Amino acid sequence: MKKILYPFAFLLFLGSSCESYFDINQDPSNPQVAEGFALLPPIFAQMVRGDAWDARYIGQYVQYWGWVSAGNSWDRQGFAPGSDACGEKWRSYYWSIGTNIDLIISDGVANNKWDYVGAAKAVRAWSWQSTTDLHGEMILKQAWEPNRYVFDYDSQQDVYAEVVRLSTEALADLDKTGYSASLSRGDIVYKGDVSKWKKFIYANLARNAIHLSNKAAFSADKVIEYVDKAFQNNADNFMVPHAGTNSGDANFYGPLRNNIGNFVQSAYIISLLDGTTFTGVKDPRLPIMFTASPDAVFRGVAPASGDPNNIAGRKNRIPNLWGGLGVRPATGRWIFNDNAPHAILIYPELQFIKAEAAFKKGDKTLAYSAFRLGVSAAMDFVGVSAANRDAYLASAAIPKSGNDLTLSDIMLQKYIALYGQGALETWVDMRRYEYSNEIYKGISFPTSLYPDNSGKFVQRVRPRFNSEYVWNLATLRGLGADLPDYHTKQLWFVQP
Amino acid sequence: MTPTSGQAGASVAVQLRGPSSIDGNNQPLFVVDGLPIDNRTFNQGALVSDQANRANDYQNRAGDINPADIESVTVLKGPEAAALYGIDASSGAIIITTKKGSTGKGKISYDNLFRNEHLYRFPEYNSDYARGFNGSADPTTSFFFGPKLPASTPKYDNIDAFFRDGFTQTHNLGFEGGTTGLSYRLSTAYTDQKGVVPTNDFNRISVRLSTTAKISDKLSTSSSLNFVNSNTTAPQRGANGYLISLLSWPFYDDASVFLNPDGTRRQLIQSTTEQDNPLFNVNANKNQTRNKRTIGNFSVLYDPFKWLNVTGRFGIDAYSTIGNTLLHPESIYGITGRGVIESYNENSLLMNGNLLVTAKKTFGDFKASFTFGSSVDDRNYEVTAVRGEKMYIPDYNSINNTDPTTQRNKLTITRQRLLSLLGTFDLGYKDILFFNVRGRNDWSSTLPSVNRSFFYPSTGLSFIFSELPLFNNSSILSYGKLRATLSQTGKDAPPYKILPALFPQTTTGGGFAFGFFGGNPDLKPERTQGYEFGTELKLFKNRIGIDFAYFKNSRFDQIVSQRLSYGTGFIFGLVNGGTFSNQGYEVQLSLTPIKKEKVQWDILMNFTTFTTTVENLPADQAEFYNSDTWLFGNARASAFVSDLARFYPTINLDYNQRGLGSATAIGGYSYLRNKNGDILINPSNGLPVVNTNFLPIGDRNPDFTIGLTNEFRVGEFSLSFLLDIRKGGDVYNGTARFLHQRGLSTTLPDRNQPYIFNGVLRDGRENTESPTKNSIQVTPLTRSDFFSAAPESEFVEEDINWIRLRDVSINYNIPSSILKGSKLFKSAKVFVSGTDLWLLTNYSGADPNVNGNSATTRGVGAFGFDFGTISLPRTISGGIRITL
Repeated sequence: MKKILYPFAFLLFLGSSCESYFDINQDPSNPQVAEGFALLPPIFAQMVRGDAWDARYIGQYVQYWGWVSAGNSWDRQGFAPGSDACGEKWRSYYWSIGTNIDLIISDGVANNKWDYVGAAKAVRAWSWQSTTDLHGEMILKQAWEPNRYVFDYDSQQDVYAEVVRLSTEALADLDKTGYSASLSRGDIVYKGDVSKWKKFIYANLARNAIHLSNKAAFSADKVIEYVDKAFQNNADNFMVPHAGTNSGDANFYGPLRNNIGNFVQSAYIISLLDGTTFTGVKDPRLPIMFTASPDAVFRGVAPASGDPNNIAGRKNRIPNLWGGLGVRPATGRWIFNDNAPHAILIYPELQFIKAEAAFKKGDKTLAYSAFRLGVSAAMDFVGVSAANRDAYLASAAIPKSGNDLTLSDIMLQKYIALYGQGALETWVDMRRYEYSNEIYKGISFPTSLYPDNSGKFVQRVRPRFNSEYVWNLATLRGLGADLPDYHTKQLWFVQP
Repeated sequence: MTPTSGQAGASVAVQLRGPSSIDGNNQPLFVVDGLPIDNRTFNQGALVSDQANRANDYQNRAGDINPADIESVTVLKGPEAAALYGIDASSGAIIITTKKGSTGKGKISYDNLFRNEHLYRFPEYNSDYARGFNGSADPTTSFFFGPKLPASTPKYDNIDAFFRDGFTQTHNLGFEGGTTGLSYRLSTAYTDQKGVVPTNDFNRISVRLSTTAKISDKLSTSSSLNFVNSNTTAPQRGANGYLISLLSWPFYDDASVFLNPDGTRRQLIQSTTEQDNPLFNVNANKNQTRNKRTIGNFSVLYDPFKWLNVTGRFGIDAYSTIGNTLLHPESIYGITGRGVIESYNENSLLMNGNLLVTAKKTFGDFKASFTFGSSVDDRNYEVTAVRGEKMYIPDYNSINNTDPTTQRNKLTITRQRLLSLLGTFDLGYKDILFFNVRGRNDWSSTLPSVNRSFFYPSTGLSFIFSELPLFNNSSILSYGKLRATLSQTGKDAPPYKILPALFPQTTTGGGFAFGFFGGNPDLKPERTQGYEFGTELKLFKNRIGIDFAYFKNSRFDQIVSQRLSYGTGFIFGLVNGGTFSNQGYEVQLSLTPIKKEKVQWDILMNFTTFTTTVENLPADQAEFYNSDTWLFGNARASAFVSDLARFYPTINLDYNQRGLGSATAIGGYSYLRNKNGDILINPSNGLPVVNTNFLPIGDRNPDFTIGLTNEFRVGEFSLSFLLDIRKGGDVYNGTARFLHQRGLSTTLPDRNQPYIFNGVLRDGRENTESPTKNSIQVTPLTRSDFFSAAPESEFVEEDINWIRLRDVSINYNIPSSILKGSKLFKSAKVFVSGTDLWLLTNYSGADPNVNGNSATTRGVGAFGFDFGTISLPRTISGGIRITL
């Protein structure tokens, strides 16, 4: 009864204490601010989601895999007009990672949590780097500006510079002392190890620097310096773990999430492992990474051709990436499993970056040693036994000395090492080398490219459709992004 | 008014005079005995699975009111309703007065109704081709692009086998009586409805007690207490629903055999992507709600002096709902999660009250009345939802039967308070001229404190010119009135929109991340400014009546979750902006052609027409859309500005003029055309190129609607029928698009005949003086992609008209001369009625008057979006009504 009388009683007090009566507009079910430890795990998940989502399409561009049926637009280096396909990194960069980073930073700056501030900036620097490598020009200076509804784009050169600036800031934050470190609470990747975060920042800077290899101002020494300050072995890899208990916390590539059921391994990657390219040497990674057809032969799809034998009962049918024949098995395999971690950046990649830089500099000895370290670590990463690894390193697939080493050796081993999760970085390499079949030996491209390409190879992914093409179109038009062949326009980093 | 479907327990969306807000709530306020009640429809966003109000439907809570308790209904259509009932009435108000007990000898009344429902309108579909692609049979697909079936192929009427006749029974039993100064009325009602879809049922028990007491000459009270218990079992609809799976089930297979002999689901393809057999779907999957509601209402009337009245009212409207959804482990919807159970508990408490002090005084020919008052409205709403996967026992419907590691919870709490002060002044001169001015100030908890308080006035003038001496004793004019009102109103924001909210994440490690919606610390109330003028005429001793009203309402500073560039940091920015207006007129015509003692014929016609004009949209965008309405393919409920060419300077918009500048448009994909309007054809495959910009492809707003009632009374018999007529308005036939894409459409050309799309090749010469005419032949039988070439614009059916026999009823009052003999009955009546008996329409689908979303969806809603929704069934009912 007391409650019933409330409103009446209230009417009498009208005008006296209004404000407190109305002070109920904070959501009791969902908070509106939070500390870094609660914000960081979803950010890791979104790093994976953006990368893995878009890598499905980029994996078709670089021929890691192909669509099970013929003529797929992405296999033909095209795109899906009017769709958000391959726009997931755009989404995670601006939104699902987005301003969550700023919440961590503002809480960290206010409460002396410099480990969180540095980690948050490191993630954002990585996100700038990997997103611009996909899309080119981006909203940089006006991003997240309150009360702004249309956004200008900034050049890729500006974004590259921002990565360096933000990384430098992040390193300085991580070097701060005199506060009580608490990063381990939310950091499910490095368990709060600040030194590993610094290595991750250098690893990202190494990417930033090697991508400029076509430019006159390219500095191989800078690249080598960054690599040397980055990961020292596979234990430093940036690996995002997955609990894999349900579709929410499972790996994007696992059967629970059911995202890759129509992708099958490519003929090209199989040709690199089954001895076709490397003078008969069978790569010990082949049976770990891939599944053979029922007749025990490893096969892959030719570009844009699909699997002509994708029919129940055929002995030469190509399995999907989980190893199933047209079905989704209960458990996947290798990186395609529900609880498999997702690699954001790994040590072998850095060694290949170093090898490439040293090679370009003319230091073949350094290039060779980095190359061998890269191959060896890549074997370990996949889970090859030490004996098999050493046998492969001693085989005819591996040059015997620095003098025998070619750029193609480095880039092909890097191509294999980054298989799957590193598709975006492989695409950077392919574009830097202009899809050269001198470098990517034995590769063949689709006989009929996507119609809008006008015969040109794909160079960029359009900004996300339902973000930019619908709601920021005037700006895009200024960039020529409304043209049908915009995706074949070279990015700044590729240009000399 | 658009029912969402022909299912039992479905919600009903009501809009008076068109939309009042492009993104807010457009439902009118329901006011019962002077106090608002809750008319919420459960929002599936509160579920762990966070759905878009399509797959399931929930009853809107105004449906809890027992029709037998209603004495009268008044509809206030314009924004002036807000001056009386506050901002929640800015989309109009439906004012219900309930029946009260009468004093004197006690009465017992009983009535019943038995109703049969029969579904008789279905989408037409083709049954000539087998499953397959490119002319070759493929039994592993549910696309019908295979070879033509031999004429001897058996065909099953799966639609007929699926639906059943619905049956409803309603019983009302009431007691009333009282002595001078005290009266009561107790009514009980029971309804049990079995819908036309197997397993769909709805039942409700309502008990209501109302009392009035006169305590002294100056003081009286009235109170009522209403308890309602309702249960609904509703099948899944839309893309997941039975209708779509029924249409795509092969017609040469008997769909009624949905289980294997061992009791498992019979699959056709043995694929995880196989659509559920519709009978398996409705039998194995469950969607149930159980609602208990109590509405209490108490009011005191005090007249300390003859000229002064004080009225205080207080109400409590509390309900709780237990909802449960089970997606069977073998169903396509449950197969990924290996069986999914989702349950929720919804609790709502609305407490409101108002206090009105009215003083009346007469000065010579002037009558004045002044009212001052205040009202308070306090809403608490809470939903706890829980969802689990991996059911251990396939049919055991309990959350405890799911793997604990998969269980997820979601809590949604909203609280909001609204306080108002109001004053009205009415002045009348003789019975000729009436003037009023009203002002109201609201304080809302949902707005930032600096913008919390807002004032809105209204004023009205009416002139009863028939009272002038000139018309005294006129044999033609019995009554004549001119009236005009000018009003303003506001609308507050939904709660918790100032800062964006963080939502718990189910990804590894848990934690929080921002949701889709950005906040806005500078939020202001939405505003409406409107006027209305009209006239009311009664001629020839009230034999002819005309009521005309013209209205125009301008809406600005709309509070809109506008989709914007992700550069904002969110998917939707929360913006104050956008201006649109609705204007139109209504004519009510009443005629009594025959009026004799025993014979009477009355005609009542309501004519309504209005348009909504968008002047600009929030954040200077070209389009606003409601994502819930994105039912199938790329077509959605949108609002477009009229100067679209400013946004798309290089696109030929000649074929995108329907819906331009409209708030009730359909936005979607259309053909890409050159500057001459020729459709562009892809030179590599001979198929048309689709323009993937969301452009206006239709306008759902009708040209006009007419409700026409005829009532004949001959002695103790009466017959009435209501015709519902609509002219114009476009409908997106998503079901037709689905059938087309599956190779099931009846309007497809002969598949063996090579087809050349009429257009020009997009070869770089398309915008020159001599574009290349398309000559590429496509043979549909061997080219399955032929069937996916047509964009959504081709499935918008333009100018849909209908004439619908909404209601026919025949009543017979058993004459008192017969009843006298029994001494038991005071009165008795029998009736027979039918609804939706007949529909004449140029719409190719089942029924154009359906809605693809439930009534909870925001903004203009999804009327005119037909996808996977059944038509309104034909019903025949009969019953008796007796008083003892």
